[in-house]
Order: sequence, then C-alpha cells, then structure tokens
Amino acid sequence: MGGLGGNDVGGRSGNSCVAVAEPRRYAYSRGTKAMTGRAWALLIMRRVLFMIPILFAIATATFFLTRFAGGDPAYQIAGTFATEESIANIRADLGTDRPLGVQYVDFLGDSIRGDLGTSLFTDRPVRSDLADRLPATLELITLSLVVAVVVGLASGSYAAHRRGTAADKAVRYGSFTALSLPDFWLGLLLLFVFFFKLGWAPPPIGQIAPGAAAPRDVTGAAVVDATITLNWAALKASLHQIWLPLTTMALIFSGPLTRLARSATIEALGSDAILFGRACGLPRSTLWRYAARASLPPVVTFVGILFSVLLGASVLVETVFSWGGAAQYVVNAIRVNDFPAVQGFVLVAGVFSVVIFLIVDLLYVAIDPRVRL
Amino acid sequence: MSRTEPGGRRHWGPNWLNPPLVIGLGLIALLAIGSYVVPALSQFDAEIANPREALQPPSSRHPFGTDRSGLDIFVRVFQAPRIDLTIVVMGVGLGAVIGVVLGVVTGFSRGIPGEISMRVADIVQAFPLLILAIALVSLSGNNLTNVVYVLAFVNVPVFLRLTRSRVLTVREQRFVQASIALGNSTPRLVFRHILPNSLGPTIVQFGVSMGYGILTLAGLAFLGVGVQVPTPEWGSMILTGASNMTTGQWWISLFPGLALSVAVFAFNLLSEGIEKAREVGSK
Repeated sequence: MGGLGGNDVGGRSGNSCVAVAEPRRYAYSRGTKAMTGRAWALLIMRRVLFMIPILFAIATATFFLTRFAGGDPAYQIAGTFATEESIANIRADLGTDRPLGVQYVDFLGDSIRGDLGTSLFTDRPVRSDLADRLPATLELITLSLVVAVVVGLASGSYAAHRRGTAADKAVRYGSFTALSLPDFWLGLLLLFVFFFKLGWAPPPIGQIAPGAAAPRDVTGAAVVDATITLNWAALKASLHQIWLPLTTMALIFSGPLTRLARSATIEALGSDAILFGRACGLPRSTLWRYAARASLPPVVTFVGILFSVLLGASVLVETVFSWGGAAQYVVNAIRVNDFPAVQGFVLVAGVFSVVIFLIVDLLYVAIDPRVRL
Repeated sequence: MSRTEPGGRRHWGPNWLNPPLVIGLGLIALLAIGSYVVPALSQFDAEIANPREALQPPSSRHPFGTDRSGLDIFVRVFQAPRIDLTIVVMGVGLGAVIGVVLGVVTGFSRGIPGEISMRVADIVQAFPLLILAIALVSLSGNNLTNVVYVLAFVNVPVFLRLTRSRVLTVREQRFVQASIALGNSTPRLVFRHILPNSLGPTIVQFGVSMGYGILTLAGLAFLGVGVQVPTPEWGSMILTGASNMTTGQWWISLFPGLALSVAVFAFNLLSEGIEKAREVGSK
C-alpha cells in the first residue's frame, strides 16, 4: 500500500489521497494490522476476564454502601412501636442478626448465582421484579439516545462545517440551552402543550394505555414486543405512548451531544489528513464523511457514559410519565425501605455500566484501528 | 489555558472580562440578592398557606399565580435560591475541596495510594448517581445536611480525577524540578508551585458541577427526597404543580422550572466564561 510516497500522489491521485485522508486506511498504510476474527476473540476474552475483579469490587461496594448508609432496616420495618422481640424476629428473618462477614460472603455467593434476594415489599424475587421492569427503562433510554445521537451528530457537524454563520450560532445557543433544562420539567411542559392543549399526546399513564391494543409480553418493552410479534396495531399504540417521553429525553441529551460533535468535527476538519484531502481535491461529501468518522470516538465515549447515567437518571422522566420502569421501581423501593430491592438494582446497574464501558472500548477499536487495548 | 510560571502567577488572557463570564456572574448575583430583597418587599409570606386564594392564575396581585394551598409562587420562586444555592455551594464546595486535596496528595506522591483512590473513584462512578443519591439521602435520614454530604460524595471522584491528572503533568515541568533542586520544602512546593498551576480545569469544572448539583437537588426534591414542602425550593415547587399540568394550571410548575433553568444556565455560562478568560492569545 502506498503511503505518502511522492510518485503516487501524482500518478494514482484518487487512491493515495484517500489513503491519507481516511483515518482507517491511513493507519493500515502505516503498518497497523487490521483486526482479524481471532484477534477480536482474544481481545474480548481478555477484557471479559479483566472484568471479574471489577465486578467483585462493585458487589462489595454495593453491599457496604447499602449497609452503612441504611442503618438497621429492622427498625424501619418494625415501625415506631416495635418491641425488642419483634425487632429480633425481623432481624432473624432478614438474616441481619448474623456477623457482617457472614452476610457479606452470603451476599457474594447469592449474587454469583444470580439470586438477588426477595423484595420485602412485593414478596417476589428481586430478580424477576427487575426483569419485568428493566426492559421498559432500557427501551426508553435506548430509543431516546438513538434519536439524540442522530440529531446531535447531524446538527453538530452541520454547525462545524458552517462555523461562524447564523446557523452555527443558532445551533450553539440551542444546545447550550438544552444543557440547562431540567428533564422532568420539560416533560411536564410538553405534557401541558401536547396533551392538555393540543390533544396530540396521550395522558401520562405508562407504556400501554388501558383498552388499547397491547402486544404479547415477550421482553416487557412494548415497542420491541409489538415489532417482533408483527402486531401493527400494538406498535402504533405503543409508539403513541412513547413519543412524548422519548422527545423529552432526546431534546435534553441532544444538547451535550451536539456540542461534542461540533467541537470534535471542528478539530477533525483542522487536521492535516483532511487538509491534505482537500488539497488533493477530494469531493466535499467525502471529506464530510471522513471528518464525521474522525469525530466519532469522543461521541461514543460520551454515549456510553450517558447510557449508564440514564439508567438511574431516567427515574425523573419515568415518574412524570408513570412509565413503570426499573428506575421508578427502585425509587419506590427506597421509599418503603425495601433494601434487597435497592441492593439488587444498584448491583445490576453497576454491572450494566461495566458492560457498557466494555462495549465502548471495543467500539473504539472498531472505529480507530490504531487503538490497542 | 493560562501560561504557567514559577510561583504560580497567572497571566490572564485578553478575554478575562468576556460576555459569558459577566452575564453568568450577574445572573447568579441577581438570584442571590433577589432571594432576600423580593421576600422583604412582598406582602405575602413564602411559607404561610392561604386556602382562600388557592389555584389563582397569574394576576397583578399574584404575578406568578398561586398553588393548591394558596401560596404565592412569585415570592417562593425568588426566595428559593436561599436553599438551592446554599446547599449546592456547600455540597459541591466540600466535594471539590476533598477531591482537590486527594488529587494533589495522590498525584504528588503517585504510587499505590494514587492507584487505589482512582479505582475507588472508578467504582463510585460506575453506579447510577441519582439513584445512589436518593438511596443515601433517604436511608441515612431525610434531612438537608445529608443532601450536602451526598452532593459532596458524588463530586469527590470528579475533582479527584481532574486535579490528579493536572498535578501529574505539572510536577514534571521544569520549574517544579528547579524548585525541588533549590531545596524548597514540600509544603512550599505544593502550595506555591503545583497547586496554583493545577487549579485551572478545577475552577471550570466547579461551574459545571454547580449547575449539575442544582439539577440534582431539584430532582431529589421532585421525588420527595431532601427538601420538603413548604420550604421554598424549585424542585419541590415543580412537584407541587406536576399533577396540575395535565388539568391546565400551568403556572405552578412553569415559573419554578424557569428559575431553575436560569440558575443552571448561569453556572454553565460562568464556567464557559472562566474557560474563555483562561485562553491566552486567541482572538
């Protein structure tokens, strides 16, 4: 493959220009090896092994945080007029009368087997409670993030290419404002306008309206269920329910994403590789594509962070729209001192973030072949 | 970024008095002053309910209307910064101080303590912050002191990371090496040379963290955690009017939310302004 050799710039101009300006090709031309299937398998295996101590640390932190912050749940469960005896009974019931070390080892053992204990409030295994509700939360935040990323990348790179114009200014002010809005308040405003005033949106009553066509419960996420069971009436009904909370979150999170995409694209456009491509006379659309590609890594990192933050932060929007997802479940659990449920959720969320960061790292390698983990 | 120099004297760039900085600071000052002036001038008390004037739309008597218990929203919106700003300044401030101290110590001495503190920070940050905050506040007793501690707790890793990475760079610079060679004591080295040259990004982050802290405090109150009714606080005021939004009484939640957005906006502007002020030679 030709590098920056003087001859082929003149000779096979198109190819060598692309070879320099396109980040991946340039990396390959400089001797970076492409990732083979075997290399991927090794990489993933190494990273998954690396996760074990981190997961262990997360379980440990979960255990001690909920124990030390919470005090003795027996007192809270027994209420104000509890006798010594009833408190001792509750402790024995919960297993909190045993030494802390024993409880900790027990907790680790149960967690490894996937047993998160029984909710004190719903009397069901925390695992099935979470399994019922997590899909609704994941569906809402995933779809919102997809919309936010598309809007953010499009408006951010558009503003970068039109730097200094009125359009750029509008995008910058707009995204800066979105950064300062509380999502739950925006949700309420949108409800007032689109439900109360215009009647375009349904009332805030969760994923599926009573009496509407409901999809067969496969995953617990209404839009996904309706799609995989090819139930178009249910798909229409569930999209009708989701569009307002989705718009709320997408509006808020397209703000920081737009700013990030704009600055990353500006940096990419100023890079030597793009400058060289321009000097070669590569078409504008090609340069746009390369700049977009070069601006991806920070965006991917940020989306990863947002995803794990949103797993909990979505509780505000979920509350406004009575979404009934996992975040809302855990906040209710906190209210009634249901500590197995809180512990279970915090553990699952911690594990979830670690998995998300693993995926982000792997995407990095896929986007930029020079990255070695 | 400002130029660094022995002794930590900073040469501010030509942009030190830029519009975002001035507007941001001005808005924050207005909110702070207004929180004492407006209640003093108003005929209504922010915490005394008056059911006979419940749910009134904005009028000349009640510029922002009243809520279900007849509380005047105008006074409450303006008095709220007393709680909102105080708690967040204390919480984020405490978190920043602890984070910076830990960052300097672990960055300066490197080695095992640094590694351990970074891994702990990793783990704390792997948890969903808002849920962690809700759990910590409501499990440890639903009062405002605990909200301050929780805001500090979630901010320590942020400032620790930022300061540590700066200190690791600064300590390798030649004027620091020279200062060591001249036989300066460690405290003098840290306070006169390393710290002043490492704080730049921290100050910028402080504005961002303040904005985020205000949103967190309001979010907690919106879920009924932390600040309680009738204490005037933006998040709990939005909660008061939340159910009225679907029945048409928009003013109860609208105005506190606007004020909340303005406050967050002001801190974001401030932090952008500080960043601009520290740029050298551009423009």
